[in-house]
Amino acid sequence: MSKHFSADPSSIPDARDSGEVGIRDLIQGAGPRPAVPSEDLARIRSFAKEQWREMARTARERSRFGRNTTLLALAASVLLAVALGWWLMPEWAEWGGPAPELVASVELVRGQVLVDDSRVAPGSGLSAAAVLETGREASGTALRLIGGHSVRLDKDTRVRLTSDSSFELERGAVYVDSFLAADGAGVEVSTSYGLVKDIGTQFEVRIGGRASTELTVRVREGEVVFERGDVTHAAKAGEELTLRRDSEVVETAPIERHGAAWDWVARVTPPMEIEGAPIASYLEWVSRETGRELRYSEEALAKSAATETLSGSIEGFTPEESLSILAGSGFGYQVDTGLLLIKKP
Amino acid sequence: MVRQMIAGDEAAFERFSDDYIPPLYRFATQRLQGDRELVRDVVQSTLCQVIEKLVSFRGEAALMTWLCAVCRNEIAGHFRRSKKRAGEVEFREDEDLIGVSIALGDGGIDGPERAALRSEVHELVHDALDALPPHYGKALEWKYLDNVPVKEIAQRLGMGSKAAESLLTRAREAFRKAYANLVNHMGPALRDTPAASQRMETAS
Repeated sequence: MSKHFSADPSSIPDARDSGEVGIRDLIQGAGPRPAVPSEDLARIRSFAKEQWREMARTARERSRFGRNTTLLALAASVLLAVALGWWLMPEWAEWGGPAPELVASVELVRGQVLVDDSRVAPGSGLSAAAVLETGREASGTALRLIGGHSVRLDKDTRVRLTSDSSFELERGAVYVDSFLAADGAGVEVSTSYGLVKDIGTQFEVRIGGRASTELTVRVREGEVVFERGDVTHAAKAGEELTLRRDSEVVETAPIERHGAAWDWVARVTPPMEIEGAPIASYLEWVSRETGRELRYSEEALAKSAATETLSGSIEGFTPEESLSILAGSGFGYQVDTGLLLIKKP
Repeated sequence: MVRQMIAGDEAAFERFSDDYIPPLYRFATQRLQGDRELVRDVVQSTLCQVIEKLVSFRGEAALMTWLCAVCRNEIAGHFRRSKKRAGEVEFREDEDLIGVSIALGDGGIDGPERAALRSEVHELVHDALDALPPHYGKALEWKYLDNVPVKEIAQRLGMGSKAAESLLTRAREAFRKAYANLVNHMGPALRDTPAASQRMETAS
């Protein structure tokens, strides 16, 4: 018996014209899809089941939390109305204290994230003095300070907010991106090792990275200044400062602005709203969030990217994963060391 | 199914496992040269991420597309950690496919090499089947590999014969598109080759 096979789709006869012979021959020629070894399948299923049970349990808790939040919101409205009444009546106003100042909002939550020991949901407002704590495994969160800075917390991190542009890092790691902050507005990160100030930048501050008595400041873009007493150290993009609790020496070393060391940041990056956004803007966002230089293989592609727009959502994807939305768009890509190359598919 | 999984429906999880884990495993196996231990790790890591983010899944991307995107990222991460560049991995893969396809169109290869090339085409067919909605892939295999009559396919899918016929038509059309997409992703080098449209004949 003779069989056809071809890699070319044009060689498959159209079912409407000439039946199903081509598809039948292709499928018969290829035979059944390879079976997964039963031992592997069992192990993977068992693992996935555990993950799924945990996810479903968390989803139920969040749902309950959401209902409780609604009730709390109602109660808060009543309290607010009462407070407003107090404020409007001069004889009562002198007894009412100032409302807590909101300094940030929660943009994204992964895993367990607590604010003042209670679980928090995206959209929550945070006041000065709020203490945020992320779980030990698979957790993290992204905040937006009122000043415009994006602040992301890695797992096992504890932070105390102090104002709309400052906070204390007590444990773990934070990543700050000042891209959307008001011009000239810096952010200050206090630690027990000293104070880190940014100058329009993206950077990470981590306590206890390679050693428990160590602080590292890694700069992806711009510049940061570290102050300890009267001593000041600066670090520029692509540099890392390392300080030890028992030493005055501050070491500076080069680092890469992309790669696995930044993966945790990608996992808690709030997704860009791509609906109606030019492809060029989206690609610039990916470039910035992944620390890779954006380059087009040809000028015509750059021009098309500036005018063509996207639709849909990339929620649930990291910036790099989200590049899969380019499939079928007329834009291909290659992610290489330090480079995001846009080319024809 | 995703909503039911989030709600804790065990049957939905079992359907997800039956329909999506085997294609995901095959996807990883092809890209990791069959290193079983590594494939298991990558697949588990992919599932961990996808299940964790299931609540935010909006269905703009097909579930299998999402799984493959995350899996591809995991594989790139593996090579990055083992000091190979992610870009090289993807490039090598594309290059292999282009080479295979041009050689097939050329028609001048015989012997073991030709058998290897044919095996690559078979992988493309399996990839295309894996890319379809799971019941489409199953229906096509039942019909063309197991010679299951349409009436029985209808019973297995819990529908009438007419509906099964209609589903098979849609499945064939979806297969045609999925296969075309896979080949088109091989790049202009293949598409522009006149020999690429030639059909190959081989004894089975």
